[in-house]
Amino acid sequence: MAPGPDLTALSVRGVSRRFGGLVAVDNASLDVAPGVVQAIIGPNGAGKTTLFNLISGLYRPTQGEVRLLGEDVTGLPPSALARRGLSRTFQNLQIFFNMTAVENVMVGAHLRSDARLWSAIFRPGARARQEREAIRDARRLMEEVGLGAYLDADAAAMPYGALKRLEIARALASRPKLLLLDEPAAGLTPPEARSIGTLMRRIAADGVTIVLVEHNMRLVMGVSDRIVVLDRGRVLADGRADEIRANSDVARVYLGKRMRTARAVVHA
Amino acid sequence: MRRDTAVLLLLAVGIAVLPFALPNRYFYDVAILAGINAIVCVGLNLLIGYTGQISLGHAGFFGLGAYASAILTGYGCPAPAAMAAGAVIVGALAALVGRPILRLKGHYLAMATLGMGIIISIVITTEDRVTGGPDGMAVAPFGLLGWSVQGEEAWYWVIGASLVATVALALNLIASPVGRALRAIHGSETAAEVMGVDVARYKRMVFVLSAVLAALAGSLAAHYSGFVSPAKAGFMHSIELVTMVVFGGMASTLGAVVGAVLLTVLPQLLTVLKDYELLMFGALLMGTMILMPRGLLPTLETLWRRARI
Amino acid sequence: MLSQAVQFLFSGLTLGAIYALVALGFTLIFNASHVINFAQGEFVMIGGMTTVFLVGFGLPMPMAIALAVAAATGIGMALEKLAVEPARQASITTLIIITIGASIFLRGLAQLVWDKKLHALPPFTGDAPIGILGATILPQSLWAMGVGVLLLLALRWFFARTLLGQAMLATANNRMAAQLVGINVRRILLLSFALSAALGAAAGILIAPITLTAYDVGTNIGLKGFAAVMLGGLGSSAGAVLGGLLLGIAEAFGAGYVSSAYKDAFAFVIIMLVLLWMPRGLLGGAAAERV
Repeated sequence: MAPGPDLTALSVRGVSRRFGGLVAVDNASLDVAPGVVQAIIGPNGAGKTTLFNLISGLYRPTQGEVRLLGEDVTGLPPSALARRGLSRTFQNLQIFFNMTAVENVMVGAHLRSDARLWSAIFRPGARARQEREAIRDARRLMEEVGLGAYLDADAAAMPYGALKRLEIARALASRPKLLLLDEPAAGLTPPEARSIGTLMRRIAADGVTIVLVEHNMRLVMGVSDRIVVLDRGRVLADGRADEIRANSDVARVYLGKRMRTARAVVHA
Repeated sequence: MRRDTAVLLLLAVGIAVLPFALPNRYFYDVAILAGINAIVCVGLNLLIGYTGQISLGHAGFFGLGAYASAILTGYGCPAPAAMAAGAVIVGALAALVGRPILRLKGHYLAMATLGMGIIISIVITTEDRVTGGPDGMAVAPFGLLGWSVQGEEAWYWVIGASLVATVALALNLIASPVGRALRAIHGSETAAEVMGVDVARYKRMVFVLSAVLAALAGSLAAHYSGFVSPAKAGFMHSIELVTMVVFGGMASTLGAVVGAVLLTVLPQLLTVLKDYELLMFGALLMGTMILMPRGLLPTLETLWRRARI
Repeated sequence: MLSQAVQFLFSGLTLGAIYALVALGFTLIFNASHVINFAQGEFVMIGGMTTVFLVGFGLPMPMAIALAVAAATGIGMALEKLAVEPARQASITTLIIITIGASIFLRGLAQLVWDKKLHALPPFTGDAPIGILGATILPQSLWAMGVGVLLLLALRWFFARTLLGQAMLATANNRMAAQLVGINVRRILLLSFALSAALGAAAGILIAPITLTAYDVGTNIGLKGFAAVMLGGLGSSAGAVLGGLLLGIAEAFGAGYVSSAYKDAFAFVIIMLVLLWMPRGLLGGAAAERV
């Protein structure tokens, strides 16, 4: 089924997730049009990462429905979602530290490789050719995300900022239609964060839909087509960047906390 | 890939020239036992070293392979067919058991595999009408249509060739997208799954593969020694196998071979110490792992690379 | 029928008390270091064997017991200092292999210092069976259960009421935080090995008059202790005790009603079934992996 122009890339309908007594995500709904950059913001503990985990299949929703390119994918495991064009990065890095950087990216291309036991063991010749191609692809992808300096590095020897990009390269290697980025700029310097923003626009320009969780407001406001605000698991607001900026609820819940934090910093 | 070819060549040449240094049958015997252990360890290393999934029950698979050969050839089944049947039975069992227990993690997986191995060895010990019980049972020689493998020298070549084939298989597997997926599971199961790796399926696959290799090695061992006993399926043998893998160096196929060979030969050397044998073996094992926590081969490789720079 | 069941229950509780003590030893060390100490069974062996030989030299029983516990404690601390501490940076698998090396070493040492024969320790207070509800129980079984309960209560008090006990709990919960508030984590580690060895030795001394002892009894009892820990849930003291008792009872009833040859298999089948339903044991709690 090819995605028509009227189709949403991602549609979250009335999704909830409880952990014991805690409702981490509460009846959240959200539609993401193809090719846009959609941000999800909200204070700490608002349920942003939980929502990501629900969308990418790491958690099952307690109720509600997740649709990917029009298809109901609620409750499917992550590997099945990957096959349908979803990929993501992680807030707490999930790098394969036992591998080189290039190998990390090659795992991203897993679904396009010939990963059958038979050919793995008995057709080393044919495989070697495919592997050379896969290595070339991975290196090109690393260069595209600005990791040209780490083409021969072990993942374990790379600095934090580079690992953030490595996760993006690995996710892109699967040629996703929908890419979830969980705090891609966290812990980065302002110039690094800006260049992540540029990278995101470039990825979106290639037709990849991006859903982004991020605390860096300058980056969010600069890069997003639409923004959803979560607070205590609920969708508080949904709109364009300027609409969100003008929304008084958002200012109260989100920026209010910010101001208190700011005051605390001043008085410290 | 070039490195893999070199490793394989080194191993094959080593096996080919070793007989010049083996003065008598006793030395051949030790070499054969080392080779059999190495086959199991190369398989086990795919599971433990590369995929990061512990098993404390692989001696159970080894024992089942050995007893399948012993029992089936006892009923007149040709040895190769009995061996294949043992491998199929063990493969099916591993697939069946692997489905639920490979969901467990870390120490819990260790517990479940350990329990599985112990249950297998208790069944073998107890069902004495079929297995001969604690006394073990005799096994017919390995042969087909009147021709059979006899004597240490012939067995040396059979085991040597089997080991080279196993190592080739493991090297090929690890250098492939399948191997990469297995290593990814070791690195981060979550990320592997998100990248489209069907983690449960791959874990089960490598579990079955390593179990089948253990079963085949068990069959060979049974035919070679002409005798099987429940100890081969027991907890201590499982522990020995894991120790060999870790000692040689996890996530290194050659390391698994080296670990198996050294820890097979070492107790033989230590027998001259008589009463001090266990003490020395324990001390050497502890000392090596403290000084070389990543295992023998990876540590030596690092030293070698540093020395060249 | 009832008397038979009571009889099985007695032997199950006796075994269970021993398993619980060994399991607690595993738990103490695991909580302080995340290491599964495969030499735990050797502490049990050292306790039993040392007592047997000291009594053989003519020492009064209480003194022999005290010296045996002290010897095991010393060996436990030496194990931590000489084998575990130097390998702090190693992976968990490597640490496990180191403790396996230690267990082989200690077995070799025991066979050198003593011998390879089976030994019986005389019961603490005679061997005239006591009748209860139509079943009989050996005085030594009462000792095992009684001392087991006492040791549990003492441990409880230690963790609830003493500063050192609280420091151990804090380290188990969060090593980094404990270090930040000034707890000497290395001393806690040493202490956990000492305590764990003492518990193991006590178990070995209590059971030696019932099941005999030898240089290699540690393997089997260590295995059972580990199984009890996993059944109860790794890291939970209550789980260790529960797992130990359940395992002992399952073994006694399995041997009595099903098949004595399959008594060990019975226990492991139960554990595997429990793990299928509760992948972190009975009281292990849920795992939370943050991504």
